[in-house]
Amino acid sequence: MFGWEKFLSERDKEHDKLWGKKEPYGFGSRPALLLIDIYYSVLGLAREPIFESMKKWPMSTGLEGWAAVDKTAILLAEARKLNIPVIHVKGSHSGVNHWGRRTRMPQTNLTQEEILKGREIVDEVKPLPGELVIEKAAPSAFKGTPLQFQLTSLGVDTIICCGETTSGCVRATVVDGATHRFRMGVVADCVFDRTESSHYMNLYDMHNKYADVISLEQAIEYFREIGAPKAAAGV
Amino acid sequence: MNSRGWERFFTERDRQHDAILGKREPKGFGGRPALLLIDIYYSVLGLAREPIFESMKTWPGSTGLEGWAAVDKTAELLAVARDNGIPVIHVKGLHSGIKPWIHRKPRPSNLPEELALKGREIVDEVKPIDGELVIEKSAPSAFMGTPLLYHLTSLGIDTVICCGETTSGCVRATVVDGATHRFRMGVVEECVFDRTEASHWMNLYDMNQKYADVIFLETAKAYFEQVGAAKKAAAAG
Repeated sequence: MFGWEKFLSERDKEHDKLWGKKEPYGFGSRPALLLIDIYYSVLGLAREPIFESMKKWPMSTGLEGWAAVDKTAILLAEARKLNIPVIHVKGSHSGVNHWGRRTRMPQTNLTQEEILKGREIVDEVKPLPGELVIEKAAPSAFKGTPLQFQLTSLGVDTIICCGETTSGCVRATVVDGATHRFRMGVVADCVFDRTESSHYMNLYDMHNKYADVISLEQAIEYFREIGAPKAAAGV
Repeated sequence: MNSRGWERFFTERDRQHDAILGKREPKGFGGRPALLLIDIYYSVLGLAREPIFESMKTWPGSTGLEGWAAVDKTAELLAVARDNGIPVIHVKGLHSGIKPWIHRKPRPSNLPEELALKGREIVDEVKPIDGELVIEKSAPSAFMGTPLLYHLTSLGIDTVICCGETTSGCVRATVVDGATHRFRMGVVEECVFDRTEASHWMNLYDMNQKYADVIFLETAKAYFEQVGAAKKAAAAG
């Protein structure tokens, strides 16, 4: 449906017919928009193809990443117009040890200034004053952060996710959101990854287990349905 | 380290990307492992050993013969863990009435009550023995809403070796949370199983790349034996 079919084996296709999800789980009436890890070091400062970009920014997602950022900016503008709460998530750099224990970090020639720039949320989806920014030291935005407190305080029942990577922090956040019994949405046009097969198979997994994967148009339509009565009520 | 069986699902671009950023060496394990067996109950295997589509006629969540093959391999590793004094923890579903984590209409089931209850039991091949902790969870991850973390901390565990199902579901969620809590995580390639082949392999790839070392059964056995021998030497010395 969103591009995962070509990665399924013949057996998987047959299994999907029997077991695969046929209807969306559905969303609630109090959504929030969650933007996950959309900072420069996973995109680069210039818009370049992934392998070009990786020469300077090893974790870059290249042009596909930038395309998703532009789509996310469209959804973000819509959410702001409709007073849907927006929450930004980024990495914490407080000195806490990383979860990855990576043994082989590629050599880079980044200056200290560039490293700091790399940690900033990109201008296209930059937080506005009043929008919560959460810093995390885990794949999931829920772990070790006050995200759950804020969502409960706002009465949020549905979380629509954008950002990167589909197979990493987006996936981990979606699993935790579903665990906490939120209705989770993943905007296929607005999430991105370094590995194509991981991207599509994680969309498949999330759609079949934890979330509704939707298009940008569906997300906008959902926000408009929710936002309209909210605006009328003067909330 | 592992078979890299995920490569057949890669695109050309993924192959090229993996050559640059892919993991080449294991992250490594610590000296105090536990073995975690995740969701190995009858309803995901069936009572008889049948091919998946046959088994699904009675047990819609079945993983078929691939599931049973992984159970047999898990039984081998479980025996080695017990022989070497490695703590074993079993995880299964909680059926207390708490609502499920997905908002899905329940699938119609024609299972008689007795079979449904049987379906929730851990299979005989890897059945808990007295003194082994059994944790019941109502989340994909064995860490969420359970005392698993307390127990691991109390035991001084630094490494968690995982078996069970599904690779793309509860195993993955548990591995992500284990890594989040800064445990060294291992996933035994032959001992985890799934309903969807592409999900199985791509989740192994993701876990190996980001959160865990995916290892062969033989490596896991040798690791447990090495830890067991060190323990015996320390006790003797």
